Amino acid sequence: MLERLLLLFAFAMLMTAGILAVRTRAVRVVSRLRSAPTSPLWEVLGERADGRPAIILFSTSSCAVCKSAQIPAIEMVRHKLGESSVRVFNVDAATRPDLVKAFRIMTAPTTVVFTGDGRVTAYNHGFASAERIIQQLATGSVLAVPRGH
Amino acid sequence: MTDLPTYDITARKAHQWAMVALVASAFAIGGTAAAVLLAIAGTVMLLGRFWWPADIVRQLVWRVIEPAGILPRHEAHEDRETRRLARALGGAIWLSSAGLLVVNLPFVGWAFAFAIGIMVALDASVDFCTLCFVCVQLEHRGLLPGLLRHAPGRRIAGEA
Repeated sequence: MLERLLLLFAFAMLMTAGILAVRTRAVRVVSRLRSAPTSPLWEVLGERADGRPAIILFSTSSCAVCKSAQIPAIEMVRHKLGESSVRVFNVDAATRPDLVKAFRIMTAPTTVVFTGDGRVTAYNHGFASAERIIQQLATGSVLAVPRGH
Repeated sequence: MTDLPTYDITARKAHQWAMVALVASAFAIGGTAAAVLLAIAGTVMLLGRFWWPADIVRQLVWRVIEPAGILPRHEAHEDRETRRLARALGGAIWLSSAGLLVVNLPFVGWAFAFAIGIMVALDASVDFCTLCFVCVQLEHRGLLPGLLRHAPGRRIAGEA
C-alpha cells in the first residue's frame, strides 16, 4: 500500500507541475500579446481598432460550450454594456489557422479582450463568464462597469 | 434579456474532488475493495447525473456543509451541458474500469480510471475542459470525425 501511496503522490506532483507549466505559458502568451505591436494582430483579423473595446471569441463546430454558455455570456456582456459599445468577433478556429497561430490558441472557447485602442487586455482559456469579461473590459479601459458587478 | 442561470460551484467542486479522492483511495487500497470503490464512484457519477438524490456529495454540501458554514456557497454562470455529458461518460468508464479489475485486467482498468480522474481533477482545480482541448486539437488538424462535429457555429447577436 505504501508503494501505491508513493505512486499517487508522485503522480499528483507531476500533475501539479504540468498545471503550473501550462499556467506559466498562458501568462507568457498574454504578456507577449500585450507587449507586441497591436497592428499585426488586427491585420491578421482583417479589422482595425475603432476606439471601442472588442472581444474575439475563438470557437469550433465541435465546441458545445461555445454555443451553450460562451455565446450567451458574450451576448449578456453586450446587453449590459450597450449593444454598440463592444465589438465582437466570432472566429472559427478550425478554419482560421492564421489567427490561431497569431493568438496562440490552444482550446475553445478562448476569448481575447481588447481595449478601445486595440491593445490586448485579457486572454481567457476556456469558458469566461459575463461578469469576468465585464471586469476585464473595465480593467483595460475607461468603460464603466454596470451596477451589480 | 433574462439573466443567465447560475450554479453552485462549491457543490460541483466538492463532488469532483470527492470522486477523485474515491478513485485515488481505490488505487491505494487495491484488491477487491478497489473494484468496489471504483464502482461506487461510477454509480454516483452516472446515477447522480439523472437522479439528483443519488448525487450524494452535492446533497451533503447543500444539506450540511454549506448551511453549517464549513464551505461558502459560490454561485456563477458556467457551462453545464458539457459537464453533464462528461459526467455520464466518466461514470460509465469508471464502472467499466471496475469491471476490468474484476476480470483481472488491472492495467487497462487503471489506465481508463486515471484518465478520467485527471480530467475531473483538472476541471475541479483550474476549470480546464480536457475534452474541449482534445476536440479542438483534433479539429484543427482535420482529424475530428464528422460525427462529433455540430451544426455550423451559432452567430452572436450583433457580431462584427
